[in-house]
Amino acid sequence: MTYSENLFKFNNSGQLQLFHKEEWINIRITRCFPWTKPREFLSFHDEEGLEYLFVGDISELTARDSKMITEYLDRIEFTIKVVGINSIDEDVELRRYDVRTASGDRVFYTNLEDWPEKKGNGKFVIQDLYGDFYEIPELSRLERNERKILSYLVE
Amino acid sequence: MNTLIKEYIHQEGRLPDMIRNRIKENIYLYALADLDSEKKFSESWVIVTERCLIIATKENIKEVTLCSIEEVKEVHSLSTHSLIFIKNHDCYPLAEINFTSRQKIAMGHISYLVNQMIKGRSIDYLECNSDELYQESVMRPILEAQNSIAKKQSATLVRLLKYLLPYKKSLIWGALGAFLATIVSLAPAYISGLMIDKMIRPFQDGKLEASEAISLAWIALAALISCYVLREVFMWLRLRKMSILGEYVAMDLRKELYSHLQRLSMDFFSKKQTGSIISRVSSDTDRIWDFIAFGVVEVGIAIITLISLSAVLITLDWRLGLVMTLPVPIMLFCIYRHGEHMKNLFLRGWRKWTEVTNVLSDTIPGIQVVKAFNQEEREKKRFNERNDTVTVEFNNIHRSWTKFWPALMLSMHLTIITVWWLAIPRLFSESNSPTHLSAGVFVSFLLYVTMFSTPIEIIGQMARMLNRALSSAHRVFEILDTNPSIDSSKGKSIELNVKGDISFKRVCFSYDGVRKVVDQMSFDIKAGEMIGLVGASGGGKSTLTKLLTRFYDIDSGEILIDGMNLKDLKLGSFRKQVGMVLQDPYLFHGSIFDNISYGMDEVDRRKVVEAAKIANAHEFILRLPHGYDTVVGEKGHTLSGGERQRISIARAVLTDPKILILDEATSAVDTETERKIQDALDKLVEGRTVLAIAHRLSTLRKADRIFVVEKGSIKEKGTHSELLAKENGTYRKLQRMQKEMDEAFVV
Repeated sequence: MTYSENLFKFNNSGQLQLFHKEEWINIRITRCFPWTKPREFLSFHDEEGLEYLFVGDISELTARDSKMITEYLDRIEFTIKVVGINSIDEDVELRRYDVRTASGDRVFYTNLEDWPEKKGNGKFVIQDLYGDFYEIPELSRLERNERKILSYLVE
Repeated sequence: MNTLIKEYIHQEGRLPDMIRNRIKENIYLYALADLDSEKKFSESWVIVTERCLIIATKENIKEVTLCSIEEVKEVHSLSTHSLIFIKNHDCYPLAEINFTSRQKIAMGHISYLVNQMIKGRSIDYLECNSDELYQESVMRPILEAQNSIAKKQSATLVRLLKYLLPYKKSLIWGALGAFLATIVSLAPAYISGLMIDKMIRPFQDGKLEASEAISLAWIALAALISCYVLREVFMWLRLRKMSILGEYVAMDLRKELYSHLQRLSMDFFSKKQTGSIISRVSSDTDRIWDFIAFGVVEVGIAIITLISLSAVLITLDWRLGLVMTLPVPIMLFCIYRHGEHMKNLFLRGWRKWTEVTNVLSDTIPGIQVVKAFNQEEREKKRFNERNDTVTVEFNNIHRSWTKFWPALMLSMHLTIITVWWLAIPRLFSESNSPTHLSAGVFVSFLLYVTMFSTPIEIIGQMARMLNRALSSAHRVFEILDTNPSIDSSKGKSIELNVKGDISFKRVCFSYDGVRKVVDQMSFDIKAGEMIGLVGASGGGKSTLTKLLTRFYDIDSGEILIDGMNLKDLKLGSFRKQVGMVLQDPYLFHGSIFDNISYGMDEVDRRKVVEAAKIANAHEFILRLPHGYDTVVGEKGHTLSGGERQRISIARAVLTDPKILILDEATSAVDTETERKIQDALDKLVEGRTVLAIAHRLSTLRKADRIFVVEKGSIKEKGTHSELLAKENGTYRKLQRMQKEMDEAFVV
């Protein structure tokens, strides 16, 4: 299904709204497959969870809406993107990651029994003790010594 | 804490003085917004004062008066969160702050507090220190995962070793045994050299008579035998004394730990996972035993052996001695590096092994589903793939260690060959030459060399062993260092024969120091009155009963029992007069009789049977093969929810409490069982002050009054009919909804 009319707008306070049955409704987006199909199967619902619109693929929306929603998703579904690894060490009961990210340098910790999980897009994701998600690129996109540091945890 | 935050998460642990000095008002709370609008890490502080919300960086400050904020909106996504302060939905937000999950707890406090303040609610209860609150919220996840960071390793080791003090005698004997065994172990090599140089060589050179040589040799042999026997005696002494000593230390730790756990308040248990607490009493104390019984001495012996061997070798012949001892640090380094490499390999192996066990834990309990969907072949394939992978990893591990140890031994042998190479010219030199080396000294030397590898290996593993033991010690000491938040030894400790009057006077309580779960609650209950507590989940009903039983202490206000402050009563004696029947009653491993009479020192069996009859439990107990002797609880006979409930009611009947708390006692059972339980409860509540929490309003038909509890306060109170008479009342609404549901069910 494709949509020929624009359905979305932001109000002045930055709230995303959907035009539904002649009125603008405050809306939230939930991705059904945030890691494997981030731009497909999107549920548009209100704060109570009542679904107003379900889109199989973001490209079904008008070009304007598609761009708006893509930017919106990029903004709200932010994960910390690792671009380089300085070191990964073990402390008592904890694993310490010293990394460079697209947002700046960061040191974070995980439990010893947690390690990066491979996602459908070839990237790895790990959650730290606080619940922050760190996206680690494919091994081939890392420097040789960084690959060596990480390989025990992902290969 | 500030230093720890800087060291661990590389951020400021408290509001910088530079910003603090620019704020004139009293600071209630603050938190760090660590993401900017571009989602780059940044540092701006969000501060709540009496009048304002302040967003400050080191360069500038933005103030938003609280009265201009109409709403605080929280937006949460995977790794970013935002607080949006809105004046009006048609205007741009007054402020928007972004932060990572690291700041989520602290920002949650800010959001809650601002919401309370803009709604004009009292925040008198907020007496917490803003620094402590922020630091605690930021460090909590790390402190919970790793309890050791706040303490110095050496201090923990000293504290652990202090547990040896009561067993000084055994410790001295054990250490002496270890020391003497090590020293005696050095003698046989020396005696062997002596035999060659002083008996065999002189005899072969014709300088010593055969009879004299033989008698000397017998003496040397006797000395050798004595050395070996003595060594084993000393080893026996060491092993026996130290292993028993270690067991005593572990026993002391377990006792201290368990009795301390019994003293701790409920808030401790709600913060810690059960498994973590159990493992501290069991496996952590076991690790400490292992360290004290073997680790301390093994490492001690290894160090003594290595030092004395080096000293002996250099004394015997300094040139050869240096050749042997100089490579030791290199070998130790290689062992350390190999250990690190193996650790990584084991980590990979462990990960792969987890994947194998995951398949097992998935499919074995779910085998019925596997078969129903005809997925046996798929599961076999999945298992085999993972099994193959783990085998490859384990083979890598074997390849690595099987390469390393022979290589290390080869380097050791190369050192020995070097020794031979240097020794041969000297062995065949003239005996009066200054560099001459006697055969006996050389043989002693070679024998000493064989003793080198074991201590090197043990020292190489020392760091790991020490780390494991200290980590366990930290975990144990963390519990021992926790003070119970409710100390019953303080206060007046009045023994009260409870009548049953209860008064709550402006009671406030929060679990985290910020969010009020009970808000200015006041009510009076007369002795013998039955009060029904209704309302949505999370409204504060159960918390109310926990405050009444003093599982938690209130933040402000007063709870009076028969006109006396609850804090002045002797806690144990008061709790004995309060009975509880919970939604999911817990039965201990033991007979039904033991479970009903739990907490009573001596009990008449007739009374237990009577109590079971009142609780409508007698009949089903008699149907069990072993009657009241039937073992229930873990690994015991499985009882249904309704049966367990009736046993807990019998327990309450037997203790004859003056105040009774029923928390969802009839939920999650079928109608027939509910009827039986309700019947039992009706008998139980007579003549007692009762607080009954229920979602099914029909179970409160006998309640004298009903309190509707919402968001920490009592929204409505009165009799059933009084509440029903309220036109737009919550109770009336609840009653109508349940009636409609029941009717729909009947239809």
